[in-house]
Amino acid sequence: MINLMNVKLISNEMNGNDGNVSNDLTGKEVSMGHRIDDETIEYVGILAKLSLTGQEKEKAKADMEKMLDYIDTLNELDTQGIEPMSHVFPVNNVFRDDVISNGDGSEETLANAPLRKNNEFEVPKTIG
Amino acid sequence: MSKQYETVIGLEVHVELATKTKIFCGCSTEFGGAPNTHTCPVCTGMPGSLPVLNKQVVDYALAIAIATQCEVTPVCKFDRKNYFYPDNPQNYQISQLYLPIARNGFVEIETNSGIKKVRIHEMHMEEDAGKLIHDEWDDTSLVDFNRSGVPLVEIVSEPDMRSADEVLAYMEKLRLIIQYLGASDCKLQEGSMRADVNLSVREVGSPSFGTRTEMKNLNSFKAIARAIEAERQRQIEIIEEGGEVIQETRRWDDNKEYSYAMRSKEDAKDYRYFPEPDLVPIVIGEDWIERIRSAQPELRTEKLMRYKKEFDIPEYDAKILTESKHMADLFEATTAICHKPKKVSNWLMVETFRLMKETGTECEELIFSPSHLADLINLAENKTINSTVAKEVFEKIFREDIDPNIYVKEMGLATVNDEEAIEKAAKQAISENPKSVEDYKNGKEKAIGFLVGQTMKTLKGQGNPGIVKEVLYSLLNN
Ligand SMILES: [Zn+2]
Repeated sequence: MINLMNVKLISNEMNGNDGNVSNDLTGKEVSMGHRIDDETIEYVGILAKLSLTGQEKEKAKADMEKMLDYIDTLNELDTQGIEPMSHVFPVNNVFRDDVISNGDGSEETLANAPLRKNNEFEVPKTIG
Repeated sequence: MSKQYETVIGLEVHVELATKTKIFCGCSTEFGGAPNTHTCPVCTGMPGSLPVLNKQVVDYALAIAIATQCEVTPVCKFDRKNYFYPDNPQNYQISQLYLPIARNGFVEIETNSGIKKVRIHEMHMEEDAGKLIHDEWDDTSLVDFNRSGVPLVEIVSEPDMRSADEVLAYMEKLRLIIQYLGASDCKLQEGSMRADVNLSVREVGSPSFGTRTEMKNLNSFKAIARAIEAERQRQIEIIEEGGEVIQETRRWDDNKEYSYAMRSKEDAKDYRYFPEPDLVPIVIGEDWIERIRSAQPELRTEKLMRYKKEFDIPEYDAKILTESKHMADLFEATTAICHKPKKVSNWLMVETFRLMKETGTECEELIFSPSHLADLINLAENKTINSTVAKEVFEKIFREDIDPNIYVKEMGLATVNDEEAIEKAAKQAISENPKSVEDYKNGKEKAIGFLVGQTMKTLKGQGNPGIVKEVLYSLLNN
């Protein structure tokens, strides 16, 4: 139903297309002026567990349209032959050893509970 | 003639890894702690907390990948899977979608229809969620985050299975491989191994797959078999009535033997995955893979082959003994001490399994030491104790791991071979039971059994049964 830009970017990386998003999209979607329809904003709201008023929806639509337009600008760049960046820092293999370093954290954790019962968070009935 | 249908099944198997700590924080993974005691800002998704990957998780995942013939991904990384649920405090699960740690493996399974390969599509690392319990009193749900952040490996098969038998054989194979590696205890009931079943049906000979459903909440081998049969029937009925199977997630209720569709909004497969920015990529070189490979223990299939060559025990016994690594270890360690594989196998196959059943003990929970079982076997072999006493002593070993040499001495359980003592006891039995003596003399051979019993009773069960019988016969016949 919705195909946000991040989905496109990532699916290219996943398919091993060397991150050549520009190849895929340039020419097809350079035209500015994305439109987000009512159905899409409704769906994004459901996914984000947000109930938006009509006014908020219109504002969110405009924001999202701007974002998509900006992605088009990025897509104009020629990224042919450039390795996809999987992380912003040139660092890898940061690990910890499998050693217990935390004790009973229940009081600190439960201090964040909006509603607490004994030693647990109490939430509206949810079937797992 | 009615149409013939084929069932097509793929599995997603989740395995909880046997690490001491969680995947991204130093909280304990120990089972059964009081609610929320094993939690910290990382595993409860507090803003500003930073996950750091537990290296042992990667080591275990690699061990499983290698043992299932997977290709290891040289550079892998984590992604966020976004969804809202009270057991998921971050509102996303850290998982691997785009670059899972391993792909394209397989295991071989054996069923009545022969040996077959089940391909593994991919395998990835991820974190477990918390636990929700329904509170009857308030009609609310209670959340315990002790399991939140416990490391999991999810193994996704190709749709290569065609029956419940094949599914069970595949799971059993995975369980044995992973248990032997020590990467997980794989207990279905406790949830350290879980399976989601993707199932569709198609007419035999059809080249394309039917629409599949995904079934969750299967926590025993029996439940899996029942759920597969029920879902196959349900889908065939829909098709026969001219309807269409809907792609959906269904929850199996094993008590009602019925599955029902989960609410479609929960089922929205739009998890909006994106790369996890708080964790850096994992680069796995040949040297790392080689280190794991060379530390790989002997797996079940290899062990079974070796048992056939090395030990003179029935193949059936070898299969049962190697079904649990712990049991196989016990067998080998005991045999190494007493050099009597047949006797060791017998004690494990008969008395040990009997007591395990009686006491509800799992193989992994056995406490007795191999040296004590070996000593007991020697005591029985050199006739220091008779077989009845040996069984009693074994029960003490099974329950308390006592030293049989000391125990037999202290309790005075050694067999009475002393003919004089036996004769005294036999005479007593004869004088106290004239009726049995008369019966015997009138040709009732069976009456001797009662007299043997009475003599043994006087000897506190320690008489050498052969000698007891001999003495009684000679006394009665003269
Ligand atoms: Zn933690």
